[in-house]
Amino acid sequence: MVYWCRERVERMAGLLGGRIAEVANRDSTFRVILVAPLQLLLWFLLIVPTLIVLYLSVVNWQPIMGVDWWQAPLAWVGNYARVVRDVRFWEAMARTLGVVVAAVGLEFLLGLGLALLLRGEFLGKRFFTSVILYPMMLPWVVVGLVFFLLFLDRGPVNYIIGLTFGPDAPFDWYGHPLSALGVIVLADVWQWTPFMFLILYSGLGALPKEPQEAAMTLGASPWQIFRYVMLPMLRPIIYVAVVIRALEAFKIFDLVFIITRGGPGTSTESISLYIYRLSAIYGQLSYAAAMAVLILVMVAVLTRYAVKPMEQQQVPQ
Amino acid sequence: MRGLLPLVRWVAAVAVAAVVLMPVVWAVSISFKPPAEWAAHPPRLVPEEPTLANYQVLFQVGNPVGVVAEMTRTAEPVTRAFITSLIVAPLATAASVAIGFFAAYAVSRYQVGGPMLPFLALTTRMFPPVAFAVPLLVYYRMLGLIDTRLGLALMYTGFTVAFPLWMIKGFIDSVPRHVEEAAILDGASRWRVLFTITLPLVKGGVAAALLFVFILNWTEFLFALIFTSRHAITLPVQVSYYAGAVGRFYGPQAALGIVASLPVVIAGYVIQRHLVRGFTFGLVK
Amino acid sequence: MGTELDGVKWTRREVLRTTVAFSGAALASSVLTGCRREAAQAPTPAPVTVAKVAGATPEERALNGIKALKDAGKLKAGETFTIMHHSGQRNNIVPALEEWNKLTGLKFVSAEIGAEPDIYTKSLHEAVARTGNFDIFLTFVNWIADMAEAGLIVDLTDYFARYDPEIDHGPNAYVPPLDRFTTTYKGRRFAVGADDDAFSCFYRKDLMADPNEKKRFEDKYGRPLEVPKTWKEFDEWIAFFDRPDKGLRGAHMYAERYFAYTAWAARFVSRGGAYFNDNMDPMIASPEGVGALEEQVKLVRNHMLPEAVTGDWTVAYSRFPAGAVFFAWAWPSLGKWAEDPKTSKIVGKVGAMEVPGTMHNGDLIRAVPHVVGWSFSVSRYGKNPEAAYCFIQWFTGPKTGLEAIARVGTLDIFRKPWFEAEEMKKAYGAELLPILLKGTQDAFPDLSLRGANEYLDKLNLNLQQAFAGTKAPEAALKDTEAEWQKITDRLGRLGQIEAWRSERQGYPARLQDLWKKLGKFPP
Repeated sequence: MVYWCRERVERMAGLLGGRIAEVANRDSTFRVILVAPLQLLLWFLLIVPTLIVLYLSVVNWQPIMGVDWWQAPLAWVGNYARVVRDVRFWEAMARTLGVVVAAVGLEFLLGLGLALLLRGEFLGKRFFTSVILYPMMLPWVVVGLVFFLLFLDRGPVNYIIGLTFGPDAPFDWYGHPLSALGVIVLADVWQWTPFMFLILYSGLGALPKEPQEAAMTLGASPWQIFRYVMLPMLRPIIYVAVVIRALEAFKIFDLVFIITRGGPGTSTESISLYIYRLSAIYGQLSYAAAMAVLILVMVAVLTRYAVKPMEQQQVPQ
Repeated sequence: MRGLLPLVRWVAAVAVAAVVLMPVVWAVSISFKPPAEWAAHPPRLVPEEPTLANYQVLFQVGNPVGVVAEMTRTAEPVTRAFITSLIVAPLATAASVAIGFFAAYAVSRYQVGGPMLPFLALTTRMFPPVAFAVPLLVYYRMLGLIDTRLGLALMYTGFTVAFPLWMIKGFIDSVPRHVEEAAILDGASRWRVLFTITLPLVKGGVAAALLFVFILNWTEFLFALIFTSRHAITLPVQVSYYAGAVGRFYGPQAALGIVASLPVVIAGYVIQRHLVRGFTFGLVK
Repeated sequence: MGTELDGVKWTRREVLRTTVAFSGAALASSVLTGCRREAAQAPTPAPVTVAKVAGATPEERALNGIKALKDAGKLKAGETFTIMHHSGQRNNIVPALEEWNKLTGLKFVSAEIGAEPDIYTKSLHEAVARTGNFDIFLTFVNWIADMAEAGLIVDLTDYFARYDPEIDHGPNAYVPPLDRFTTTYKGRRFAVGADDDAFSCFYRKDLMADPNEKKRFEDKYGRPLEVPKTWKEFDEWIAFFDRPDKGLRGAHMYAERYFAYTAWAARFVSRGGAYFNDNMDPMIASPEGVGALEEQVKLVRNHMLPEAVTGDWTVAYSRFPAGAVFFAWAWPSLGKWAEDPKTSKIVGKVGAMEVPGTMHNGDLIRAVPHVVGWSFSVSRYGKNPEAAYCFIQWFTGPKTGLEAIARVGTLDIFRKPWFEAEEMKKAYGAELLPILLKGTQDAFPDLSLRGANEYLDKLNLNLQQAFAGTKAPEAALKDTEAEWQKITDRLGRLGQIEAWRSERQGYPARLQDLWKKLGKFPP
């Protein structure tokens, strides 16, 4: 009896399991199961807040106005029109894009160089890899404060400059917008080159070896192999690395916040810092929401063009 | 030339490591300095009066001296924040990479959701998150998730999932399809193919995504600050506690930064050897 | 506060809720009910007679209040109350919490925040999200207006009447004018000040005592070397002691992103300047404002380290104790920092002085900025506002407060009798206390209108440009005025006018007399 029962249950479970496995193996179900968690997560997390952001961007509301947010007066496109006319916004935008180009460009070149440098086996490789990856593991507060202290007027960098080039050589790094931005870019490059390195290094590692060997036997130079064999195969991964890094660098906040606080005046303010001031310090939540929506649209359009070639590039056979 | 190459490479690696380590060395040096030396002029690399006080205040062991001790005597030890971080960051990382991996496969192989789906995921990274803080806060209040570890982990998963999706998609794109098709013709189920053929081939990408997402979750500050008040404080928030109104506590901040980076270093070291075992490993089968 | 009729509000909310319920979004409905703000707009109904609580001291009355609340069943033992405060105040607050919990059987806990601006952000977030996770806030005094207008904090006027915290009368009163401007907004009590942040001046008294310096100074300026009384003398004095070749700069005064306005405001207000007229038109690009800024810019550009402009505010706390500057302008706590051998190389060489002023027909008028000024307020969304208030009264009381403030932390002495107390003399050094007392009596409130954060940020970013040499002083102030007008219009001019008229009553009497003489606010 007991045996019979168990057997039956097992058979049923087996059947059921088999049925589930069969359904799960169907092409259509397989796809759905694969993307369902992502869809659920994004919709669950984003849809309500996005609606609230859109709502906020078309009303005129600050918490200190003494009205509840769902009773705020409508402003329609007023906030958007204000953003378009906001000089501080466009300046911050241009500045941020400049930082992105400079920082991401340097990070890509350095990251690729390092990834090539560390290919293959050699003594102490794991140690060097660990060292190179370390900067992005530090909390941003610490990266910020270390660079802030290093380039302080009476900090170590100026001290060394003073010793080498005489007492008049030390430079007021944070007193001029360009040099202050330079320090910020430097800190960003220091902190995030490891990311480029990480992706490109693992990307290089995943490349098939045969084409390279074939090229080598055909007598191609190392440069030719790199340029005409490895680089094209690496392209999808390069795109991903550059796009991801550029999106993150565009939101640069931490380093600016600690190193210059956007000063002198607003001359080193990044777009994120400006939005932070607007929403968290001035409490202009509606205006900040409109600005965020506009930024999202602009960045989305830019990114769309940036990832286009990647889609065409798909499945190189 | 051939014999010289390894040497050149080794010298270059040492030089790079030195440059990379310089700011780290400075942070370590600050973490062993008493307050008077944190921003001293002329700067000294080796502390004049080295002290462990900055580390002691973190865990409230011993009796550190001076103003730092006075100010932080009643501080919460970092233990609780450490535990929260050790729960939230790995949980969110695992969830994010798992979800991202599946979706990446679906997108790469079946173009599920068209080009818009990965793009939609990426939009979560396209605007300054601070603009999203208040609406999310209102929403989280409705869900009762404010100041909970689950809420934080959920949010971290949602806001990092774009990275594994895109990073791993890049890797899957470069895996030739015929490898999988052959296995399916042999009668393997799609799931089996996914886990035994594709996953090993893109292991490097998965490892890179794991490490990167873990770092992001481990060091995230803004959401942790906004969505916690007491129970779910994470390490980066705790780091910010050592910025008192009587002088920023560079010493304890640097010390905590270094302590906080240790789990990531360990994770990085473990993951490292998986970074480059992609293609060759998989093809042996 | 807003003046909406309750009825109108109700119908609107009702309509909204019905619509939402029909569409089936139960979640959205719960946010409306969860976040409902019953009495936010309506003024707290004033009881006909306020029943006074018995007890000889503020502390006793606070404890009796808790007892009464418990007896009435409004408060359960072991209930948790959370205080949001800054990390720098742990040492002031946490030991007191333990004692209070022992006395009352309640569970008051601290939730600290590390960076000052985040305290503002988080309190305003609470005003929107209404989690009830915080019961008490300890914030800058000039954020009180925003918190009150956002409906976040409770009007404490009745509690003041019922419990009598002895803030503005009796032998234990706060140093005036702290009693007024750290508690009031638009004439109502919204906060309880727990801090004195009158700016202080520190200098190197060892150099002042040097006979050679004395002679050289007298030869150069034709008067004896003394601590300067006016800003004019001050500028010469700093220039005299500026020795870049010897590694000693004249002064460190904030000219950076967040506190650049402090030194300028001290000069500006002592000249008889006021931020606004009674119509809320800014008056900072006036001759007083421009003149003050030109002087200060000259000082910053010629006699200070570049870090004064580009560093952060902690630079004062590292450069002055290291002996790199002759003079420093900071909070009273710099005195403690500079006299601690663990943090300072100039122990025993630190002199404290009053903030310089401006001569008006033979009268020396000093104006001391009171910046930060941590103040307690009570959340409307907390568990029991009255119990929360009782803790605040107990903590700031003449006896418990004395112990708490004497501990190292960022809260500074504020009740008048404490300036005679031995504990305080030990904590601050006997020399600083009388000067701090005088300075506090000359203190004027930090701009404390609704939107103060934005007004001050716009001012600071323009001033920092003037100090960095990238904008002319007059242009900087003109630009600020234009920005200020925009803020006032956006927030509603009428409400701001009411708040400003009330705020300027909190200025020290001597400054108000000066305004009258200069014809600043015609009736």
